[in-house]
Amino acid sequence: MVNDAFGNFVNTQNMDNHENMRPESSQMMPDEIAQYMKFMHDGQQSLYEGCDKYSKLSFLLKLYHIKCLCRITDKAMSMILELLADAYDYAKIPSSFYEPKKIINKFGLHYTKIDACPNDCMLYYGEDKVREFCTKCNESRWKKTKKSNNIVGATKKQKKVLAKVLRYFPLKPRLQRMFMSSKIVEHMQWHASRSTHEGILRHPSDFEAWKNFDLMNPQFASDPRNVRLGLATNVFNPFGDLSTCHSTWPIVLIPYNLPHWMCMKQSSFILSMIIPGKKAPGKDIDVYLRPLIEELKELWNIGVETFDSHKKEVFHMHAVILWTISDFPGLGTLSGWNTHTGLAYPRCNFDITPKKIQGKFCFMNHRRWLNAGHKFRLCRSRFDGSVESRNPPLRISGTNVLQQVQNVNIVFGKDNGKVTTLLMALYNREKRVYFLNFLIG
Amino acid sequence: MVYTLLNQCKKSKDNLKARNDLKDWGVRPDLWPDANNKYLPAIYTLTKENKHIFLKTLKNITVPDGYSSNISRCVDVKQSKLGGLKSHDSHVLMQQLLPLAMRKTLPKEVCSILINLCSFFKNLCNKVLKVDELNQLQNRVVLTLGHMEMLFPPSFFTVMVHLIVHLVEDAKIGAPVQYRWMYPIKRYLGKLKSYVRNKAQPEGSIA
Repeated sequence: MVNDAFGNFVNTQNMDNHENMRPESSQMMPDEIAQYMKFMHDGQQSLYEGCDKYSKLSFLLKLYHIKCLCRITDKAMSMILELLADAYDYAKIPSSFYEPKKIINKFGLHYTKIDACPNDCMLYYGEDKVREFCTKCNESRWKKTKKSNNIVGATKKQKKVLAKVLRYFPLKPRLQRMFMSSKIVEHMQWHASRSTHEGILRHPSDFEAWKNFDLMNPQFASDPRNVRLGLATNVFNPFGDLSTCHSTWPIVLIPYNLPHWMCMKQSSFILSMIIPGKKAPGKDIDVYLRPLIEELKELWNIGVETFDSHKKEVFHMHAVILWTISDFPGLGTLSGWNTHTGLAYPRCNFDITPKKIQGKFCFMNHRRWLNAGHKFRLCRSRFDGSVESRNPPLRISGTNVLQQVQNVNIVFGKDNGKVTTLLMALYNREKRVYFLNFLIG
Repeated sequence: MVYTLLNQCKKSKDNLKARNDLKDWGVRPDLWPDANNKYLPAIYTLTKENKHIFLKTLKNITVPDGYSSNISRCVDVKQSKLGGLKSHDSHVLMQQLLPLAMRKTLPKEVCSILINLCSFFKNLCNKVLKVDELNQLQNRVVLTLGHMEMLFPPSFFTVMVHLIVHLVEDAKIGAPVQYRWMYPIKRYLGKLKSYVRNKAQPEGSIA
């Protein structure tokens, strides 16, 4: 992660960017950005007197980049720095790794740890931050020993260990940095300035979803700098290839503002959070998505003040999630739609007659999509023995979905088997959140 | 689908149960099993010689570096088996390699339908889409699926096969598949996996 952040975004680009920054522009900026500018300005002092090639900051960043790429340990880094500082005492090289770490933290690309209930009922976040026990299952926040079921470190003078930790990478500073770097900022508006041809579809901005969204939200669409994101998630086993004992769910955001040669590259992915294992969160993924959703809500309603390094001005940036990307089981988790029954595909919704054969469901009604008078529709013996007279299912709209989900009451947590089954039977879904889902792969 | 063609025991969708379904529905009596639960091979089942040719074609294929994994490694000609494919390999197989391998080995009516399906995927994965082409694609794929319903037993049609109908609609609304597919994300997850050093705390070492 650090590798991505420094390897591709910050390392080179922020360095360029602060060269064309002027101190007078900092007067009209909010505190945070001004502070960041000041920090970048301070970093410009040269490594030693007469050195033009490296500033102190760029030297440390390059070194940190090497550390991340080659996976050098902190201790080794400290020893190298100590040697360098000893040998070149005229240069401003810190003598331990502690100081560079402090400096790099100021880039604001760090992550926050949010504690979670081990049964996925709640996050210790916001107003629940100081609680010691889960409000639903009364489970302790801290890790327990297996034998005596006591909290680790409760009696002795050692530290308590957290039971489950969500690692959350705040989105706002990451988006802000994209606009601060002079190289990326132009690309973030690429979708508005490029030439388009009628009838030829190349980038998401040519397509219905994007255009419809623009029509419905003219205020959002008026500024091409507003960010449109895609959310992707997939189960992932951090150990071997074949073992299935541990499943982690990283959530990745993809900025679709970027041109097509940049947007699906690994360097432009924003890792948003790592949902911890060992069990897959299932429907409780919503609990973990809470910090992200709250931040997105804020970005949508209020926006965040961002410095545009191209136009040299501060603007209110808004962001929105257009769609989610997942595989088919992941779709079930994200949308809450039950993908195991005869009504498995959410796009068809309830407008499908499930057919069960030998305990399995089969989906054979493809003749519905044919033209009305097609000869296949009338053929009985070569298909399933019936004549097909139905039209293709209608496309389901957002209002319909909202109606379907408004009565769903959810209880999060692992041991709510009964409630879940009931919900499944009633609404064919286990929770409320519904994204526009696409899945391939 | 390939497994059905090869009639590989566990992964094939064409088995005794599938044939019994046909009997229950009272359709296609030529494929019903007899009293001893024996059934004739269907038109799409490869014979032993054809299987050999089919797999050998796959075995001899070499692809550019980074295009897909080494598919010839997944092929076992002696036991006439195919295994260990990743999802991206199946994608490459479907789009590019299968039409080549099928041409000589399958009867014409089966082959043309399956090649139609393959070319549908290939067209859908174009980086530049045109509106009228998309409409044509949709009509074509529905027809292909109709033909497939006549060809394969009902248990072949899982929800993943059903999805094919919706792919064009998705492409019309959203974007070309390149912007919405999982492959780049899977590669990214693979990279994250390489960061794991402390196996007791994998999440921590990724962050």
